[in-house]
Amino acid sequence: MLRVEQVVSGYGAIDVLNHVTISLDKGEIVAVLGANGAGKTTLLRTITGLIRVRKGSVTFGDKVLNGLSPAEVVKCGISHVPEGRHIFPDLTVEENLLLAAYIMPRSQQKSRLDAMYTMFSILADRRKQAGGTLSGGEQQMLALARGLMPNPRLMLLDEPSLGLAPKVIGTVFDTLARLRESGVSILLVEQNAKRSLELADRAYILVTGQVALEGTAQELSGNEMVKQLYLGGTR
Amino acid sequence: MSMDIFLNLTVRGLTTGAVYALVGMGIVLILQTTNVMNFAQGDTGMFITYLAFFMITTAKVPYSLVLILAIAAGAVVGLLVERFMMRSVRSRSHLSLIMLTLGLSLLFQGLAAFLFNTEPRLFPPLVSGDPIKIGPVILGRQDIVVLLAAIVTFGILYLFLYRTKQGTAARSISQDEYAARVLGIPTPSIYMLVWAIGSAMAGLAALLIVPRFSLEPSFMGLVQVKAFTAIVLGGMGSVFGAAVGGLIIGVVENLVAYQFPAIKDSFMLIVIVIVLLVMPQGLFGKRQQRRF
Repeated sequence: MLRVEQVVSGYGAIDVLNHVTISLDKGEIVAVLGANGAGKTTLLRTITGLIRVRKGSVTFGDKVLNGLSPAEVVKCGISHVPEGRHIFPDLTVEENLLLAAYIMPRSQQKSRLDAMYTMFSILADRRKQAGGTLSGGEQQMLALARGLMPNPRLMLLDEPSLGLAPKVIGTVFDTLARLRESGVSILLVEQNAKRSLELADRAYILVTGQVALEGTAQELSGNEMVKQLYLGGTR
Repeated sequence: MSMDIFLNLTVRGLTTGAVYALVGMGIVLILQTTNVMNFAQGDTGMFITYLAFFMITTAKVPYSLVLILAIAAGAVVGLLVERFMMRSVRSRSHLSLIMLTLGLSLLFQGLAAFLFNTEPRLFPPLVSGDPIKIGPVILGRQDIVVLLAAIVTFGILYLFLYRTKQGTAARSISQDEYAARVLGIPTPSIYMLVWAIGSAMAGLAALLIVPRFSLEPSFMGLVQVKAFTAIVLGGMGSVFGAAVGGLIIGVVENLVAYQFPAIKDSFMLIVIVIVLLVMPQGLFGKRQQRRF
């Protein structure tokens, strides 16, 4: 469904991604792992059009995404939940959600909103509350709900467990598992390699802007290098 | 100062303040959404007023229509400024954006002088007729129009910001532009819309206040400075603050002018300094702005 082929992209004079190729099939959860600065976030930003593709191509279904604006990429059915949640602090929970479905007609927005409130009951209770008053875990739920608002076929998740208490991290990963059942494909960028590999079908490991390793989650969990570097194995 | 004089000065100050509020609200709207302090707000209004003047005198367009045409012209000017000046610089340098508005201000002054020459002209008030007496207060008809226009504009702006999705998007951009882009909000069109609304407000404000002065390329200069004072007093961050700030400045200025006519204009600069020293967040500013 998603094909990133030989993509080069970056900021200013620097290329962060160097000929990265990854793919994702319908219904899959694919994890992208790697250290800080490996290019994980850059990869997501390149897919959603926040950064220009310098070389290579990004296709989604039969659509070429190269050169599209973030707004146009959302229209194609891809949503992006950014690292750090980026909730609008002074907008209400409901306004936060509605903005994520900006392109939709009003009637459709309403039904998506109801769907989100059913799925995340905590948000229904807080719908008139300012986003900035939510706890970290609640904000992450709101961020996920925002990602789901436009009814995407593919969600890009950037570090959804970052900065959350262990118990809340459990809730987040449970939610992701639920999403898979609802038929949304997920490209997951995470520091938490152990949990990600438990959840994902396949994974890629990025090292300095290149795919160093790829395989099924099972294969990678068994890989000695992965164990040592990312799963906290002893050196 | 008797009570009657005080009341009259206050109400008349409110009408002047309403114009400061209009200019200030436009500046804050653009500042909050696009992160650009528009130093050309006053002169955009000045330029629109020249266009309106020649619509009335040369083209003999009826007055009520001129008001609508002028507001529309303001919107178009704002749209063009954002689309063809701001947009191409936005990704490069923030300082250049602000310098660009300063340049724009000079451009409008130069254009006005070049096209219409600098000779001061009398601009007829929107409505004429005897002043109206409300209790002890005597108010010119134009003043009443100004007050009503400011109230209506404030109402429309409020509805835009809090009841439309474009307005909500504008507020979201002011809080977290990156997040707005990630969510797929078409930020360039929101920027254009906000510039259009802000510049239309500049046109309206200038048109309303020009009968007090004479029409010349520099007539909005002081108004712009006072609108800035209003914003600083209101706390930079909110359109509401700019409105209240404008009204307060208008009233205080009028009272000061009655007692000490010589320091009327410089007094406002002193106010800016004091506000910035004593309460830099202004009356309604909440905290340090997130965007900086």
